Amino acid sequence: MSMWTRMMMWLMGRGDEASCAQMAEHLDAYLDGQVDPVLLGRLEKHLQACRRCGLEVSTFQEIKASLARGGAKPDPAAVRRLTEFGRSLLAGGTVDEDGPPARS
Amino acid sequence: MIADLPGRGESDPGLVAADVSAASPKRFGKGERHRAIPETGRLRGARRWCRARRTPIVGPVNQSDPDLAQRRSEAFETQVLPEVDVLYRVALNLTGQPADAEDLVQDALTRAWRALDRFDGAFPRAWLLTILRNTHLNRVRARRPGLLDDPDAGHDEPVTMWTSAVATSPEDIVVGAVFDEVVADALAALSAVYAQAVRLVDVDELTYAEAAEVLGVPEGTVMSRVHRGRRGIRERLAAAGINGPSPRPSNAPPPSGREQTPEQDQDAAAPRARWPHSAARRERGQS
Repeated sequence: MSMWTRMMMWLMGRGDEASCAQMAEHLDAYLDGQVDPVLLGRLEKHLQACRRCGLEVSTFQEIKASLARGGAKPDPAAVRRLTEFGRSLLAGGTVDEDGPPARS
Repeated sequence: MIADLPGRGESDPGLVAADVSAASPKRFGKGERHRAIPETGRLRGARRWCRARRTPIVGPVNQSDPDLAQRRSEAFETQVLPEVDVLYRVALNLTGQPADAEDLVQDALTRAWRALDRFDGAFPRAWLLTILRNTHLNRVRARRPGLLDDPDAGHDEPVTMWTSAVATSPEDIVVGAVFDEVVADALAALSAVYAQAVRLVDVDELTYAEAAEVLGVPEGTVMSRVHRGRRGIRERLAAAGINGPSPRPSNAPPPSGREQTPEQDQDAAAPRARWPHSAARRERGQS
């Protein structure tokens, strides 16, 4: 972004908006919701104004959503069995085939 | 006056090292400042302070004390058991086999139960994920020794901006009925290192720090792998033929509040070559 563009943006009150390069740099963290609030505000301001970055972000959001949908859902029965196993550790305390738990 | 303070006396056996250092003019060297004092095994300086503040939630084990056993059970119930779901999902990811994953989580839970006394109470999920990873590595090593020497060699390259060999404009990718299948295929076709990072972050919804615990790599490495993995998926989407001018799908969020409509932008983007997308679009238009 040229100095002239920066100055015009500053005059238009968009001075703290992130640039496309910053958007590209922080795209993954933005998708995963792991950017700090200040940067998040700047990135969203940029997304409001820049169509290409907006489309880029929505494409990757689609991919992320698709991955989250398509992931193998854990078997609830297995999770229940494992929780039961944890409770049996609680109840039995020391009983398992390796002997009693190590004392620190 | 200082000599009268308790602990400053020359006869105090716990402070031998401090007296030696006070007597000699040389202070500790740069590297040895935080090292343990050899005679007593105590840590010096900031590290000693930090260790002292990290009080275990349970305290020293005394099996005969019913109160401690009670606290131990409560800690396990409130901190460990809610994470079983996440542990099982990550274990599925690590092993790829439901039966293996269940065994692995059982082992990890047993280990966690034993190690609970050494846990400081902060970040139970990260602690459990570390235990899960170590358990997994032990199991794999026991099964096939020598396999895990350097699994990550040659995979970590610096992140570059828009590293897309096949530049595709975002609106070209159709979101349709086949989209999920193609994405799943693309994920399966990725290199295992990247696919695992993407799966941990996107499917299992771990944070970068938690995924770093599971993989045993720094957080920046996780970010880099996720970055490359996602771009790999996108390239494969493009290569699989899910591109070509097509209308936006109805279920996708519309680009709200942007300044330009797509019709205006097609014209506006043509003369500018700042972006790889616009460059690619012009190339396609010419060919």
